[in-house]
Amino acid sequence: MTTLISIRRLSRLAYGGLWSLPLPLWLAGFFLGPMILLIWLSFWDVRNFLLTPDFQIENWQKMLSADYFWAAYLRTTLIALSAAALASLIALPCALAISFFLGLKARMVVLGLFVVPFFTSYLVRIYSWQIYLTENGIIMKTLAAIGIDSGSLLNTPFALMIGLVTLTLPLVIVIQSISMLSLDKTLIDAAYNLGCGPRRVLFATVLPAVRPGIVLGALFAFIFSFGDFVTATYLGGGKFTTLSILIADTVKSGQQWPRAAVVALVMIATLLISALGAISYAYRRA
Amino acid sequence: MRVSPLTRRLTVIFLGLALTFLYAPILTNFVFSLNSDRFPTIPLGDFTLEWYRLILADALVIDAFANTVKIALIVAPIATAMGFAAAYADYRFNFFGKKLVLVFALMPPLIPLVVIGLAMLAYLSRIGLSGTLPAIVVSHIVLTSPFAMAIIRLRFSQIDGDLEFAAQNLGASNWRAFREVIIPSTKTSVLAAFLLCMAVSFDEYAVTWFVGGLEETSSVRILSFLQSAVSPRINAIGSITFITSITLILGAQVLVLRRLTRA
Amino acid sequence: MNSLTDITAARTGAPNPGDKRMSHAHISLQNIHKSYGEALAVDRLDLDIEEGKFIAIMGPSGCGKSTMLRMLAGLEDVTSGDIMREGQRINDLAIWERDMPMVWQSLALFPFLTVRENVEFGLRMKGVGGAERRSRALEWLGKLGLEGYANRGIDQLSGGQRQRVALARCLVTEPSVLLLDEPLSALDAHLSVQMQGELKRLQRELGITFVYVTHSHSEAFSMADTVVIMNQGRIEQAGSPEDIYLRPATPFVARFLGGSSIFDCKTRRRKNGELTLESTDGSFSYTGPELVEQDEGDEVSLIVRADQISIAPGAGWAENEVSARVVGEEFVGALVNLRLETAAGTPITVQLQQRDMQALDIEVGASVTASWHPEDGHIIKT
Repeated sequence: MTTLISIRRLSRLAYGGLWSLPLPLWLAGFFLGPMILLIWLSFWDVRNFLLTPDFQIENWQKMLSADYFWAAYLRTTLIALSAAALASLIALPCALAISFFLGLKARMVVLGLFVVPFFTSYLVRIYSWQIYLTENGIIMKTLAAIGIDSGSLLNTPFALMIGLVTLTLPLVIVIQSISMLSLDKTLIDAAYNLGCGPRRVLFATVLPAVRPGIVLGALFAFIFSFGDFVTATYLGGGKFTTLSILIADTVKSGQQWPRAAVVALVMIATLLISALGAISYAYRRA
Repeated sequence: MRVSPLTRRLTVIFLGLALTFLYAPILTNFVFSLNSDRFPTIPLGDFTLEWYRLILADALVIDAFANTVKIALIVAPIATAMGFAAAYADYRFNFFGKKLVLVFALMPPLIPLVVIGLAMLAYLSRIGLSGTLPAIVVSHIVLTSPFAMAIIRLRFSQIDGDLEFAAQNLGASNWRAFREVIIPSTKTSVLAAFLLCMAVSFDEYAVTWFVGGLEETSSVRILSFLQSAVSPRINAIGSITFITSITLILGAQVLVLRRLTRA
Repeated sequence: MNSLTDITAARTGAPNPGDKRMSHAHISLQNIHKSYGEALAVDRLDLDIEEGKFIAIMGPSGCGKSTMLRMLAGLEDVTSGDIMREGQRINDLAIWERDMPMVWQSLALFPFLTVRENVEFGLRMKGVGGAERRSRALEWLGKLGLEGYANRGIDQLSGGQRQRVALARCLVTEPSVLLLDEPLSALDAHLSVQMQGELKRLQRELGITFVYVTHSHSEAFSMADTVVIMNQGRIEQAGSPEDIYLRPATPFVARFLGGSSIFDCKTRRRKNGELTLESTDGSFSYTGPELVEQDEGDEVSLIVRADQISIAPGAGWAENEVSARVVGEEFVGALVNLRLETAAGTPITVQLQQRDMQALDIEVGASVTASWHPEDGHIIKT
């Protein structure tokens, strides 16, 4: 009897394990592993241009006391915050239109259209923006034709924001729309019933109710802008050294990986704290 | 929401502008890839296929494309299978720490690519893999499987949880019930996940650039072109990339939406 | 007045716990225990299910009735105890080896298969050939009034039709036991009553054992040969519907079935075939059949059904009287259920004809006197 039970339990465990384990194991090996190594790496030493496993805090001391690091940190945070705010503001009317002013079919199609860019080569789209924004670009020529001469827009904060909004807007719109679509429509009717005007319905009913969606959308925009390194490089013209650029340059141009690891860990810590803060704010009771 | 027709119309127009903003770069790319002028500007020059001819004659580009396809074709089945397994395990079993594992499995796309790139590079070079195609494959599976898991999990959330047990109750063993119930219920979402994984793998440039060494994919090739100089060849490669990923994503969407609207 | 012989007859008719393991039960649950970690779902439960009987298991949600059914089907493991079927222990059989088809609350029809393919499913799993499968499926669809629907998709059927497909899918394999988990809860009242009649007819004609879990009194009492009332993982009472209705074994059962007033009392004197009961609402006399079993000083519950209580505007002549205030009324067809409350806070339910109610001219808030005959009522030791 007991062997029968154990064989049955065993086969059930095997069936469960077969499905439950592959992805966690793979991620443990090739995601968690690298992340843990990254932590260790930040304590390594570089001797004679060779990486040497070690346990010394010099990398941390060097990076955390470097002015250029903190300047980059501040710059990156500022850029990411501005991009998140901008994308959220632009997304809001779009999400409202998708959720309340479009029919079912149009809504599906438009949401689909916003999902597509998120998965299509951002690099190429950046290149297209270069074409638009460069000195001889389409925008300048058009402006010049109507008598406005503004010089190149490339390598300006404006170009940077154009790029980051291109990167993050689709995601923010989709997240906001999902949260608006799951809103209980009777809530809005009730507000009208109580005599609220459209403006009060929007600001006193809809927006507070979809706060989680708005906050999460902004959080994702912040995360992606914070980590992005191509926008600042190709639309900012290298004038805006961000943390990601710091890492990319360090890795691609030398052996100072431990210092890059320090930067990477500071980035992850920042993102984790922002995520926790944003999520607890989003779901805090109003 | 009851608002004035004018407000409604203005909001919808704004929505249209946002779509234009997102699609303008993609369209420009197509237009200039067929334009004869070396420096893309208006008025347009003549129609030409010269840039396409140039990239098709470029061995680096051809190699990069071959790599891209090879990698995507290895990555997509593995990532889809793993994403499916995790989604099914979440649907079917309860185990200690399940939520934690799920959150962990959804993490990779949220970590800055440069950070993953650095971590992967350090890790893979320690196990002697960096600079190889397998290195790219391994990291792409990490980056794409969360998408596969999410999309298939979405499908599972619509399936009656009793269905598989109903099949077992009528005499189907574990595997038989899986074949009779789970496969027919999830096959379209699996295909959608497969397409999505291919698209994500296709477009990934950052981690690939870090761990790939001299091995290039088409996205990394675009990155190198960007680094060198403005060249209409980027438009040509870009157009091919766009067509591929848009096709894949639209395909995945049609599969998912058909399910959603039918349910 | 009921005679003592009548009572004895009724008693022997009820299942006697001592005999359980001796009987020729079709399915027998023996000392079943089920816990989820700390939480206890089923607690040392014994139950015999006779072959060919319709047994309904009911109780409040969380009482363990569904867990019990799921353990029978093999969907849940038994923590300890034995599940026997025709003398064989089946604890260790996998779900697919138990051959106890189930009608699910969600119906769990396969949406990607047609009606006929759904019905054929169990036969296909058993390896029955295509031609036979088809003819048996069509035969059952015919029996359940679904001829002509064989090639439809599940989403093209009405709720009642789906219900029948779910039944046909189980019955086509000619099982000896059918498990039903609140199968009618999704139907509207009218359809549910119609299906109840049909289920009872099917069960009688086929002579197979039905184990039916429900939270609905009307379903259980209208169809079952045996009703089992569960609470907190234990069986409070198992017996024929009549037995349970007339003689609830515990205050819980009386309360769960509703329509009765319950007085907590202490027995005082017994003489000349009359028992005096003391309660916070005064003292009552009792001359009913359970008189003989009581000793002086026992803590008991006196249970009086709503149809045994009458009310009058003021104090009257009856032996058992309680003054109370009307706190609510609900109209059920020609009947009125009046809810009263005594000064001590005991709730009383009275059932009246609507015209009697009008004659009495009573409204909510009025003071009335409720009374009942000493030979009515039912005593439970607590």
